[in-house]
Amino acid sequence: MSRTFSLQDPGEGIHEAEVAEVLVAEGDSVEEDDSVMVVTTDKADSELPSPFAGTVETVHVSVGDIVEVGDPLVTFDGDEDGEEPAERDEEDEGESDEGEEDQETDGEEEEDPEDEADRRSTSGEPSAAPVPASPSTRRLARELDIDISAVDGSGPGGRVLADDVRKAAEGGRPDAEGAEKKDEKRKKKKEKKEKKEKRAKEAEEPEEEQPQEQPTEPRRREEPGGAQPLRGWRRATARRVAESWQTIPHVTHMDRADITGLETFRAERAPDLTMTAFVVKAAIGALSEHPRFNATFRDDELEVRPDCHVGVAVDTERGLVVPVLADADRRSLREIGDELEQLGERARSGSLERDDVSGGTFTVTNVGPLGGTAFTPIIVPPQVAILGLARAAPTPVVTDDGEIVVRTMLPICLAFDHRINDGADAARFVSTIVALLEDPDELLMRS
Amino acid sequence: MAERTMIEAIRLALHEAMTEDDSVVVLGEDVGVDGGVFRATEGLHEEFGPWRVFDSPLAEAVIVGASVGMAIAGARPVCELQFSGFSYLGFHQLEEHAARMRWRSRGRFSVPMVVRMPYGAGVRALEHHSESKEVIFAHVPGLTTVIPSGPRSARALLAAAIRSPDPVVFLEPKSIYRSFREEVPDEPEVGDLRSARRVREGDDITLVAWGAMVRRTQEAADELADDGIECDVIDLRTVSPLDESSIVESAQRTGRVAIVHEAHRSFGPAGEIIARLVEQAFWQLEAPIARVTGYDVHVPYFAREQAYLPDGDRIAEAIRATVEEPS
Repeated sequence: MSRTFSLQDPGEGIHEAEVAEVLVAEGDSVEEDDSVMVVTTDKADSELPSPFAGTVETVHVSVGDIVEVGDPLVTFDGDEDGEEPAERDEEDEGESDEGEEDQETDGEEEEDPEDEADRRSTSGEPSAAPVPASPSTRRLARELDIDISAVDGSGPGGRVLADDVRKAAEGGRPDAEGAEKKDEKRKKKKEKKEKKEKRAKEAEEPEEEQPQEQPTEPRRREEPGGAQPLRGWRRATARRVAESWQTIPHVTHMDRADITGLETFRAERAPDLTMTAFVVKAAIGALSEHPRFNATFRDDELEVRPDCHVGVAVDTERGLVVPVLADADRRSLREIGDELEQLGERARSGSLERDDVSGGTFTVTNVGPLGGTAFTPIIVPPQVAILGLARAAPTPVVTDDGEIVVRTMLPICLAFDHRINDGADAARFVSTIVALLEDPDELLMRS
Repeated sequence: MAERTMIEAIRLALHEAMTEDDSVVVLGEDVGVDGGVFRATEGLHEEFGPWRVFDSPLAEAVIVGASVGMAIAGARPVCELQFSGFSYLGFHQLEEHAARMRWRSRGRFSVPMVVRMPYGAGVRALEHHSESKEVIFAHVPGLTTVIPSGPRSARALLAAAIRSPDPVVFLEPKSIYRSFREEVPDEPEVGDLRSARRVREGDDITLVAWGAMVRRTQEAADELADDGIECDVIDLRTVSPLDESSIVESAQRTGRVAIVHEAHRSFGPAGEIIARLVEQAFWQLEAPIARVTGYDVHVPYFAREQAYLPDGDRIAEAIRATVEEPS
């Protein structure tokens, strides 16, 4: 019997992955637990070990494909009697013309597995066992006059679902009720439930979509290179920031910290520690005083977190990634610096795992080394705030005495979820960070 | 109306039947002076006297065989076997004579008798005291096999069993003899030995259970309702003859079915129920039919007894898996 290895649910609400690398080819022999594929989910790459030993019959995916949970990846060792979704997929390729299929089944009152097999063998196609489908779906297909063996199954193991049959029947007889009714009822119920959950999730988002502007085609000087779908990390980032921006009412509070003293201290005592490490340390100190910024918010429930895990944005060749410094509140400044360096290296070498990029309770992003005077960072859901740092620069500052002096000023931009905190809370939180950065002795006193 | 335990409800049904019909007699081991091992016949000996309520030798073949003879002669014996695990000694009389007499005599003689016996696990008992082998009786033509799921159904079904013109095996789930109370009406109530009863309505899945498993199944259904899964729960009540129309009607509506029983899985009652559904509701089925059952081992001693029995988690898991199956 052929056995098909499908994408399993990796949990945590992830329902699809992108194929980053295919490690086997058709005809390869594979041991159980050999890696057959690398997939990317949430910017972490995972190797998928084979659950079977055997010879690779079909590889169903190629690099760059987006696969959903349940989609077949690799089929092993086929016997001819094994009906596999793979075979059907291949057969169906190129003959998706429904008219043709309809003609083929014309005149057949009922599907008969034997006739079916005969028909296939005479036409040179491999003979096939019945396609997987529940009895109720078979009945629906018969009522809608659909040849179920010609329907592409979207269910687990290539199972033909009632929806697949209905899709195949589209344009056919729209008045076939019966079985449809109940399925619709169930669907409606499900939709209702989902809607309810969604409503709980998105606080009062208006039902109507924003009127879209008429899209205009950009001018082109030359032949276009062709639009490409987003792939890989770019795609993950695109989806994540869009979701954040659409659901979280962001407000960015901006301030500056005088880090002249801190820079002197750093040059003298710890030239190897980055400014990010000091700011992470200051943020942790401030979070312990303003815990509502160290929190997660989902399904209308705010959880102020007793533990603190700080995500730190890293720019890599493949794009932005945010590894998480776990238990940041239990680490010394030195440990924070070392850990950040390691996470940064692993981010750049692409060896982060999913655990390394999840579970953050607060995030710091520093674009300072590249420039900028201020920016509005985007919160990483379900967190409720993100601290952005722009470039620290010698700046003329008016002192309390009215004198103008040159100080090294670090621009700080805190984006926060206004559903959870108000502007005054943010101002107080940022003031604490600024105070800690301006007083290195106090900063180092913080646990 | 009064709240009664199942054992009190059974005693009530016996008392009512004996008061109403002088031909009703009660026999069995220790059912007379001692009032029965589970006290089901307590007080009946004093009230109705030694000619109507009497102790038997410790011999199931005699208890059942004597009852067959009395029934043919015009009495309505209600005999008690102390545990279903010892009923096999009387099985010969039950299968070869009680169940066949109407057929054998071409309707000239009938055998209006009831064989009561406690069955099932859950009371931390010894070997031979915990089995659930209703299929042995259900497999025999000519026998009606009844299993109540609580005080009210026990009273009404036992009343109907005693009034039945043919032999009835009345299996009493001993784990719920005293585990909960229920309103049992004071006025006589006679049940129906031909129909199952819907104890919860829902559209998403049909659950079939009987005896002590009804309550566990209902609890699982309550829990799943919080997640939006609405279960149609059917209490079978009479295992044989099976009320297939109730089950088929429900399955045709929901398209999904799970069956819960504490009997062993292989060749267990669920197999027959599934066969009926495949015969009559096949084209409405949306998912494979699930079974939550005891395992194919002898019922373990009390330390592992609950692990043998289907529990809320196992039931809920099977329901979820069945409901979530794409179709």
